[in-house]
Amino acid sequence: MDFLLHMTLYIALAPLLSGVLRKTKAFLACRQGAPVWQPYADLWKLFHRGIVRSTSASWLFDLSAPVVLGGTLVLAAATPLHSREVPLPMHFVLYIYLMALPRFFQTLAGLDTGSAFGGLGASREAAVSAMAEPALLLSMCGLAHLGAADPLNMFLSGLPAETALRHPETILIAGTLFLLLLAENSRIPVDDPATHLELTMIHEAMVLDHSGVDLGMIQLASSVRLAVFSALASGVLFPKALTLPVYLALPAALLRLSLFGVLIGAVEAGTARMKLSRVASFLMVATVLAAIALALQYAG
Amino acid sequence: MRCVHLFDLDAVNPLGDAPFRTFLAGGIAAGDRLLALFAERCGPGRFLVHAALGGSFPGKYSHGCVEVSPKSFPTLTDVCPGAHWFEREIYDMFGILPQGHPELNPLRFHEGWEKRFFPMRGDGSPSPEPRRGYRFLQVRGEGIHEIAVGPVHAGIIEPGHFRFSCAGETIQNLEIQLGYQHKGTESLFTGAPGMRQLLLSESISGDTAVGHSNACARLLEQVLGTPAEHAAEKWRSVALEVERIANHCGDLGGLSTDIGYLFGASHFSRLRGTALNLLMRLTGNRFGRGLNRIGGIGPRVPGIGAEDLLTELARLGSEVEEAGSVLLEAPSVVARMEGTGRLLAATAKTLQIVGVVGRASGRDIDARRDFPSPCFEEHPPRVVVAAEGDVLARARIRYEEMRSSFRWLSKVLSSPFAGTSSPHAGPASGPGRRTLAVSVEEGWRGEIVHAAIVEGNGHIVRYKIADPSFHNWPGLSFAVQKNVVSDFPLCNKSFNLSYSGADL
Repeated sequence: MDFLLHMTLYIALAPLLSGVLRKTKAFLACRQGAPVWQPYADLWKLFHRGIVRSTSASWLFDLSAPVVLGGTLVLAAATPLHSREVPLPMHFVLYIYLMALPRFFQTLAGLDTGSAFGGLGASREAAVSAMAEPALLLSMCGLAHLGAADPLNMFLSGLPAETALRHPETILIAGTLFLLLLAENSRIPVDDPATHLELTMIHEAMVLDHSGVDLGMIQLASSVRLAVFSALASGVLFPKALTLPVYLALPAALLRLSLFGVLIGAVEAGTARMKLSRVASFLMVATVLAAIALALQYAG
Repeated sequence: MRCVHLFDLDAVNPLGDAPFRTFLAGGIAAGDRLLALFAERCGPGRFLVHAALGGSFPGKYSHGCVEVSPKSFPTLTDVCPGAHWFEREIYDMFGILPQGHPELNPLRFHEGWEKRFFPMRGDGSPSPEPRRGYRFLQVRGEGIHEIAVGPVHAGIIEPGHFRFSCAGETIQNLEIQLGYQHKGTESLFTGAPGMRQLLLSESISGDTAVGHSNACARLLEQVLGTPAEHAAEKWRSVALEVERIANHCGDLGGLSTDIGYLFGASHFSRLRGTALNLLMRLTGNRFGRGLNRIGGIGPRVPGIGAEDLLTELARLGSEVEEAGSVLLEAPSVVARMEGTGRLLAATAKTLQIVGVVGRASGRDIDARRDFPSPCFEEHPPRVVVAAEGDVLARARIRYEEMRSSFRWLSKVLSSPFAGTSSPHAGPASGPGRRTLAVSVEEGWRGEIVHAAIVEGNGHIVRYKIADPSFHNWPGLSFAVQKNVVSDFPLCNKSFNLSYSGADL
């Protein structure tokens, strides 16, 4: 029952987060923008379409979209959203590599069709995720230590239910997670999800050859992935929201995700995309933040 | 009038190969620029190659021509690299081989066209050798891969093929293959001069309707001896500047879109619309079509009085100023554009790069000052030059040019308009002798050159159009070298060249 509620919440709220994000961007650009439920309509449309498949694609290509969605949902099952209890508690190192699994298959699928853009996107995606890994590892490590619970099990469940201000390192970890959120979900300033220019794309270049149901699965997975990162970062900032009774925790989860939608939208509207060569220093900042947070924990 | 010059061809004898070469090399060495290089069929099996040069001294023109064999002529690209594309064009249209040309790929007729198709060669010449196919430059080495983009793009833009040879992300070589828009425009201009040429000139490059039709109208007027009066000339220059503002706004919006900077994208796209609407009120068309008649301007131009236009421009000007200063001072924007797509000043000079791109790479040229039309002679423009040559410099030049255009417009619109603006009523006549007319106008993208060879009775036998894009396309290949592939769209947008204007 709890498992069902948890997963339904993720799948139902993730497109809303994307919708709020886009609406915020439109609002800040003085445009009306699409309604916030547009992502649901897009998904519905894609799931009712047939698949156009490259003649040079192999079984790997067919496998990629289900694996990407499946892997992301497993990730969601391990990330607290409305309560500290998660249906699928796991060790943080496993968690990190489960994050990499969908990306690995996505990259293979990008290479599989043999198009120049797929290869280009795949190599960029691999580079960005490799550079993001140290920061990810350090921040998860910090998170697990913060919990002071058995890190083999549920890394967020042991969080002290106090305000973040008492523990400055939680703010640093939340900051790291937010930077990682931008990099790992192909948001500005690392990638531009709205661009039409194939040569500049990172994530979008890999999925250019996907269509119909496959594309729907990939888009849903992207939304869920963004929701997972938002839930993680907001869970660190507002640990009390995870201890509320269910009838309050659900609106709180909705509120936290919407807040992150607005926040990411505002960052995207106010920043230009950076040069590809500067992504490394951007992620270095994230790594240093995570390292300081970890050092503070050991010192404190 | 310094923006149009007539050469009496009856008084000119074609030079020999060597003197023609010396003429061209000498002119370029003295700092002149190549306005146009083109061939003309002057009889069955007889061909002339004309070169028109222009100096930076106001209104200094020179012309030389050489009679070439129907087979080949010695290339001039070695003494004047800016002639590179002009020679490829001569080969494609006439089948006359520029002997020793460094890279004689077809400019327009790729695979799929008849290999012996040379549309301007005419009858009476020996059949030429079949054209060889397009050969892309092969880059070899470990990890080198090719990316092919286009000719069909993921957007509503014109067709063109780009072939990148990259080592990882770094571009080693970019080859630009255009020609997909060839429509025989220049041949359509021949015949008796009239409204037809003006209408055609408005569609050479849809975003430069005013620039091209101004150049065409002045050329026809000088040939026919029916110059426009002061008021008409003034409205022409006003429309030209409004067109410049509209397109520069569009470019800054496009640059913002390409770097994902939402503020610039939405505001400059909106401001472009406002400027186009002003052009609509001025000329009756958002793109300035229908502005010109031979000897004057259209009956419904201006559709807005000078005072109303001044008020509207003042409002637009302050908004552009505000949005531009936010855009070009945003740290993330500056970091993204600075040092990207640098075109060195020496390269720009060698390749004869013109217009905004040239001025961003230290080329102090502007046809409004160097070959001024009457209104610009009376009110000289401020020419903005930058030395950096990167995307940021090209964006800044656009912003600064808009600011000086607003100032210029407010000065000109508040001064009196003398004479009538309706077309000249006097009788039209030909120049009486075989004449080469060269007309220059600074469109928003850069220097537009129209050249026509006219018989004594006014009949046009050869019409040559050099859009600034034709000069600048080769520059793009140089600007993106050693940049990363993901920066190419930004570099391309900062050049913003016309495909249609290059594929005439």
